[in-house]
Amino acid sequence: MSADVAVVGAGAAGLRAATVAALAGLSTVLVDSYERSGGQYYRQPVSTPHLPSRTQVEGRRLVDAAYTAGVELRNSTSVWDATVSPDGGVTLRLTSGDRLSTLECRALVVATGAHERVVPFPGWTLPGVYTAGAVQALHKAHGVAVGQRVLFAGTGPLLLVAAAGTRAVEVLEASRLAQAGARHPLATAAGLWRQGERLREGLGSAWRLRRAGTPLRTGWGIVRALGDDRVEGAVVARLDADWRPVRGSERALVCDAIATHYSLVPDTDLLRLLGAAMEHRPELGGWVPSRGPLMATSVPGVFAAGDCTGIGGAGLSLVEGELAGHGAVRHVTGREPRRLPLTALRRERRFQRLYGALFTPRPGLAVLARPDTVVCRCEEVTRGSVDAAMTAGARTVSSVKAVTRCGMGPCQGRICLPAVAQLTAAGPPPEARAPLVPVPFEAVASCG
Amino acid sequence: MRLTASVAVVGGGVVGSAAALFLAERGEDVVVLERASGPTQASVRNAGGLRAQCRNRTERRLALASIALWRDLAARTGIDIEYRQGGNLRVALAEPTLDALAAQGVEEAEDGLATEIWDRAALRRRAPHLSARFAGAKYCATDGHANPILATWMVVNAAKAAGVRYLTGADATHLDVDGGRVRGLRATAGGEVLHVEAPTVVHAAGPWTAALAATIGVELPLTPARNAMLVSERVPPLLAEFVSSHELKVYLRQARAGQVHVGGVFTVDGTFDQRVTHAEIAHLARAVEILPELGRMRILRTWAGTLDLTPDHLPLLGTPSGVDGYLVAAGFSGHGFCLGPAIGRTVAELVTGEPTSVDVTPLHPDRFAAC
Repeated sequence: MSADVAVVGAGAAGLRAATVAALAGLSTVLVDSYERSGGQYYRQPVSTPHLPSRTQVEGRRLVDAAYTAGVELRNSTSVWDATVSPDGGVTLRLTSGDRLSTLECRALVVATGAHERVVPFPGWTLPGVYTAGAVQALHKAHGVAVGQRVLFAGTGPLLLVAAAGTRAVEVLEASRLAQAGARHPLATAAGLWRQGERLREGLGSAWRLRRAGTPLRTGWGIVRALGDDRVEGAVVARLDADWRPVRGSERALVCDAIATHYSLVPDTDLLRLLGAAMEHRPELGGWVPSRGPLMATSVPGVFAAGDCTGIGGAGLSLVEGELAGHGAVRHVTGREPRRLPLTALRRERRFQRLYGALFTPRPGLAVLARPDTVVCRCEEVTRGSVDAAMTAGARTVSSVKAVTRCGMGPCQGRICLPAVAQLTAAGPPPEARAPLVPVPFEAVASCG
Repeated sequence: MRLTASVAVVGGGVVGSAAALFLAERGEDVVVLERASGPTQASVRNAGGLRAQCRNRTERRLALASIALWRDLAARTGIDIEYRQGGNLRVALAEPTLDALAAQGVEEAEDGLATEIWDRAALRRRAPHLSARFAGAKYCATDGHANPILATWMVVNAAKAAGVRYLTGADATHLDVDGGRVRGLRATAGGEVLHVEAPTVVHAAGPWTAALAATIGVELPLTPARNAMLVSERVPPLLAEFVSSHELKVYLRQARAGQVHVGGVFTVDGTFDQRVTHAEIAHLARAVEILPELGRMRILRTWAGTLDLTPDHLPLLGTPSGVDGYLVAAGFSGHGFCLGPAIGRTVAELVTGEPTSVDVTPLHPDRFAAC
């Protein structure tokens, strides 16, 4: 199967990029691993009859626009391998359930989004500990609540928004928002300029928490979860400027679930597999692709947009998606785009900078994991083993991985390796290799 | 920076580290220069097979010695290298292949290596988990496998404990030769130039050995080649043996943690590129033709290492003529992990002038000089 343009990831950036390409008359395929398009921010309901939220209505409109423009949507489909062809196109190998297929395209837009950063702390593997994104997803897609007294801790706007939709007992934001805002009033004002919807969402969430009597504390964080077989409580503490718990400030509280969120990590596997040049930008979430005009990566014909290129939220993703769509069209047809959303891009970049200044995890979080705390869940590797490997001479993420097996399980290090990267010396970005997702032996053997 | 040593070893993989260990145990003052932060190449990027059967005679004797040394090192250090003496099974699709294996078994018996030939019925009975399509197999009960990452790091740490100095992040750039003798070498480490004065240099840098050797006029016939491997999800115990088929060009073993590792008896020559291509993945997935149970599993990940192939696929071990004090230990052609400790001990014997425990003259690097 082939198409002029392939887009991977049907979130804000991918939907917009695909729509632009299809409106330009190009055959466009939009691949997404979920059953429903929309990505994380615009996550669509799967089964529940409950009323769709504002973002779900907005997301529905984006999906409809893509469909109307003629985009071919291929859901429940993941990319497991990708190669740049000698003639300049890209071959994507796809898996959908047990079926494999191939998609050749002349231009590719990677819009794979981001996943939540997990910070290991004692007790984080207990049943009842979730990420805030998972709590919100369960609520959005299935109308399920994870507990009656949920503690929210970490950093980032999602914490607040997810908490407002659930029975939160307390919300602990590590960043001292008010202080940061007061220290950089101009940057804050610039970052929030024309972000009315975001402010409404944030303030609305804060207002709902206040009305429910849920305390929102900034400069606080979780130290450990309490409970034997499942979460029964937590120890929380005030955090210093590096987000290290302040001795003597600890207190215990009762809760039946914990939701953490430490901002997001860009999903760059596909970009790294294709050999795109990467740069390390902690304020954007870690390793991100270097890009030129119209979101072009260093690989000819490959464009990247949205959170997979640095955390910036749905607003920036929409703008970047549009630019990347034009980039793909120009690559295929040679047509120069007219009217680019450059004002919107500048506005959203200001917000991105503010987001980075407020919500970039700080090094003090690394002290939470004790020697017996599991860092890699898939392979059950503890912080102690990671430290031992480093004492024995492993210095980079890849050498720690090789010695401890940390990151070699089914999640392929998406969860644990960002935490290990906080402990090790800066090395090159970890290699990405096929398969990006597990694929059935039988099907691969017969496609030989 | 300047430093002196009695032996400088270039390459901190399994071969270089084993050589350093046995040299230090003989009282030598050894420094190892390792380009990376530890062993990261072929020493840790292999299937972990510890096999004596189905080898050339010299390699067989080295492998027998090496397997004993691996077990001895693990016992001495108390480190669990996930060694498993689960046997090695070379399966045959065609009757003539089985006949050739049987003939090899006779030669192996002369060296004291016991193997068995299983016909179709015996194979079905002894290894019912394998596909029924094979005519038979040759089995060596004393062979096995280990975790190459844990095992190689064990050698590195044993060498350090024996007093070997490791300089990591040190990239050897020049061999200093004067009057037909090696005097030491130069390296860059963290942007600095490092001079090492040493009357003996052991060069064990895998496929990267050739480029540096060429700077002193020593031409080593080493070709880099990629060997790709893939790993299944964790599954319950299925397989004790290390199984290989030269006809299907695939080998496999189950690691202790449960993943099945699959490698290929094929290489992509002439490249240092370690990206695994789709064709290689599809080829390796044919391991389902040996172990049908794999058909119900998923491929979790892949990786590749870089082999150092020689024209006869046998190592280069010895001092090339005209450069006294310079000892090459490279060209392992995919067998370096298993042979590592025995090669290391042989290097130590050659450096100190002891008689070698195994005759390695057939491996001398000058054997290609006339060609």
